[in-house]
Amino acid sequence: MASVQSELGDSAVDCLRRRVLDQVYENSLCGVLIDLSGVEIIDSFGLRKLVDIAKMTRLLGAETRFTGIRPEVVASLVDLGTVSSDFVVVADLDAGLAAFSERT
Amino acid sequence: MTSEAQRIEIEAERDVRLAVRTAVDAARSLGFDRTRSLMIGTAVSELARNIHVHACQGYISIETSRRGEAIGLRIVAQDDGPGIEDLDLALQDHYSTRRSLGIGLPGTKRLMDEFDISSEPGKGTCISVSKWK
Ligand SMILES: Nc1ncnc2c1ncn2[C@@H]1O[C@H](COP(=O)(O)OP(=O)(O)O)[C@@H](O)[C@H]1O
Ligand SMILES: [Mg+2]
Repeated sequence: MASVQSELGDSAVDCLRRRVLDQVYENSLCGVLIDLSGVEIIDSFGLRKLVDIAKMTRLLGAETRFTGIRPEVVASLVDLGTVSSDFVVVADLDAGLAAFSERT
Repeated sequence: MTSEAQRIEIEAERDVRLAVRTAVDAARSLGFDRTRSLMIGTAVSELARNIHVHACQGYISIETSRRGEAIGLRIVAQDDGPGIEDLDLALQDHYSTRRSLGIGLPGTKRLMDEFDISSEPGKGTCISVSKWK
C-alpha cells in the first residue's frame, strides 16, 4: 500500500512509480493499493502517470487499485474524462483486499 | 471590469505548480467552494502544462472579473510557441501530438464556464477561460 501526499508533480509521481515497482518486484506482491487522499489536483498528466503505474505493475504480476479520492476532487476528474480501464478505484483498504483475494 | 492580475511565468514544472496554487488560492478567496476551486486549479494545471510541454515558455495570468452582478475568475494562458495547426482537432478528446492523453484542452473547456482560444502556427497560442461564481 502506497500513499501519495500532496501534489502529483513530475518528481513525486516518478518517485512513487519507482517505489511501487521496486516493492512489487522485491516482495512478489500481487496487489498494490495507492491512496490518493493527499492529492487535490489530478490533471491529465498525473492521471496518465497513475494509469502507467497500474499498467506496469500488471506486467510484474500485480494489480493496482486506487483509493481515497477526495469528494472535492471527483468533479474535476469527471470533467476531465478519466475513463481508463486501468484506473480502478476501490472504496477503502478492506474493499481493496477483498478485490485482491477474489483473484487468488 | 477587472482588478489587478497576478502573472506567473511558466518555464519549468515548478512554475506549473505555482500557477495552480495561485489560482486555487485566488478562487478560494473570491469565495468559490473547494470543489469548484479545484476545478479551476485543474484547468490551470492543464493550461500551464501545455505551455511547458508544447510551447516551452509563456505565462498564466489570473484575475478577478466582473460582469454586471456576476463575479468570477479569469485565467489567460499565453505563449509564443509553435501554435496549433488545427484547433478543431486539438479540442477533440484524445487528440495529442505528443502521445499523451489529449484531454487537456477539451477537459479544460468542460471544467470552466467560458473558453476562448486563438492560435496562429508559428506565432503562439492564447487561451482565455473564466468560471463564474
Ligand atoms: N500552448 C500550446 N502550444 C502549442 N500547441 C498546443 C498548446 N496547447 C495544446 N497544444 C496542442 O494541442 C494538442 C492537444 O492538447 P491537450 O488536449 O492538452 O492534449 P495533450 O497535452 O495531452 O497533448 C497538443 O497535443 C498540442 O499539439
Ligand atoms: Mg495537455
